[in-house]
Amino acid sequence: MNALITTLRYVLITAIRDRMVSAIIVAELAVLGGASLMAASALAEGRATGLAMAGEGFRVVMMLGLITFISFHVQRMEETREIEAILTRPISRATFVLAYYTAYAGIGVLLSLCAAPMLMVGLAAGGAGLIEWQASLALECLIVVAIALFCALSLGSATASVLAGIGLYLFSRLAAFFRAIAESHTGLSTHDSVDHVTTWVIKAIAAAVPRLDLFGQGQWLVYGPGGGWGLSELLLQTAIIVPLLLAATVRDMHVKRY
Amino acid sequence: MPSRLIASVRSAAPLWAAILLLFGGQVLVSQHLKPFRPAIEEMPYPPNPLALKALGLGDDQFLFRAEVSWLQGVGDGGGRLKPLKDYDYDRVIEWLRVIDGLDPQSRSLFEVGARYFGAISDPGSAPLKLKALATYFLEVGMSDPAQRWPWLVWAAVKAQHTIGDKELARRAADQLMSLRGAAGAPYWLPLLAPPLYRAAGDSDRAALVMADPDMIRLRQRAFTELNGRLSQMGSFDLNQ
Repeated sequence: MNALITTLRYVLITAIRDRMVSAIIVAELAVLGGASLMAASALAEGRATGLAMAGEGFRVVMMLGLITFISFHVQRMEETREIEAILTRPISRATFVLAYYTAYAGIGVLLSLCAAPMLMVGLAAGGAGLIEWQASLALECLIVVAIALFCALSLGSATASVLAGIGLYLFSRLAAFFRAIAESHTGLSTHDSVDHVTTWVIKAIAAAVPRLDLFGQGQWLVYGPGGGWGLSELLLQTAIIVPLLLAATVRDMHVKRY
Repeated sequence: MPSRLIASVRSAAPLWAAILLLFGGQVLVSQHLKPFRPAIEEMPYPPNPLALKALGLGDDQFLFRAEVSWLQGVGDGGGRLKPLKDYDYDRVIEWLRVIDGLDPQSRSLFEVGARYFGAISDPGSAPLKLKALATYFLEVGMSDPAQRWPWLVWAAVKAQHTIGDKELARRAADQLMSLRGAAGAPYWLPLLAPPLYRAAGDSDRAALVMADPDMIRLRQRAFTELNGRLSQMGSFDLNQ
């Protein structure tokens, strides 16, 4: 427990020192300003336009910020041999991964909680829809932190880790559409066998990645909860994928690097 | 101390001079590049609905709002506007159709269609373009008259006054008449039909509809309701 609190405090101090916290808040304010501008220029339903734009903008800022921060922080820890030093102490790799995941996730969730007050103040958002959207943003942060930590500890290079993290995130948001396109046979080639293999590969990959496209729906901000799914499905997805990614990270540390 | 200050200023002076010179150069270059302006964006063909949904990365509402905003400003090239008469309205309607699939509850797409693209006034091209728009609005409005009756009213008014297409006016009238007693739709919608029949050149049909006892009751109800509302607004009575 002490190790966990120390790690959390250390990562939080690093995040503040690296200006990650202030950069994300400034970026979110800029997003809110841009969304308000778009809301003002809309012919109708300006507030709904602003909410949808700000919601998407906040999410992009949070995800890019977390992936970048975690990738560069892990690289710095590797360069200074901090990870090796920590692992020489009586601490297991699983505890190490869990401690750092908890710290990064804590910062991610704390920062994500700035979004709802900003939307309330800037665009008069409110109600159950805002609560559901905010909760889903926090859950999405938990998954993205696990993705970023997996990429950072597996790849070593910060640049490769950022690119891989963003790629995995985008793929997780798009996989359902790729599968739908494959199943609807709208992207057929001239060879049946190629189609069959491609469809199978897309389905297999889509089954392996989290359904991030279900998280952070702008319609919750505009119309309230709805759309056929809610927090229970998102909680289930988070509860499955986060331990899976953490286990893969621990396994990767055992096999490849430490 | 002063000597150290002078030395540091002396050592920094060339760098500051270079920065100021380069900054001046950048201002000059930006003045030189000022005449080059981005081309007015052309409206492409809309993508497959599934491919369009993928662009939103799962957030249909964001995609809907972004596409509506794009449609609203697609002909604006940094202050230069493409006239509405130069648009391909078949393509505009394809975009309206594909974007509408992302959020059927919203009325903002109707506003862009009616108040922006529907504001075309070029005498040569307006009737044909408005006919295409009104035909689409009629189709969409009839699919959900309870929520989308404004689309029907817009189409009916344009068919009656602006488009001058008898076939469209008759079709609009027939469709509005079919909404008598439709659940959720405003009860007065069929009252828009007789003027449309007249615009279609079918005065007999218009007279027949007007004389229908059901339509007389509807008209009286609408008249009473309108009179009541006007009275509430400021002691105005239509009977006076």
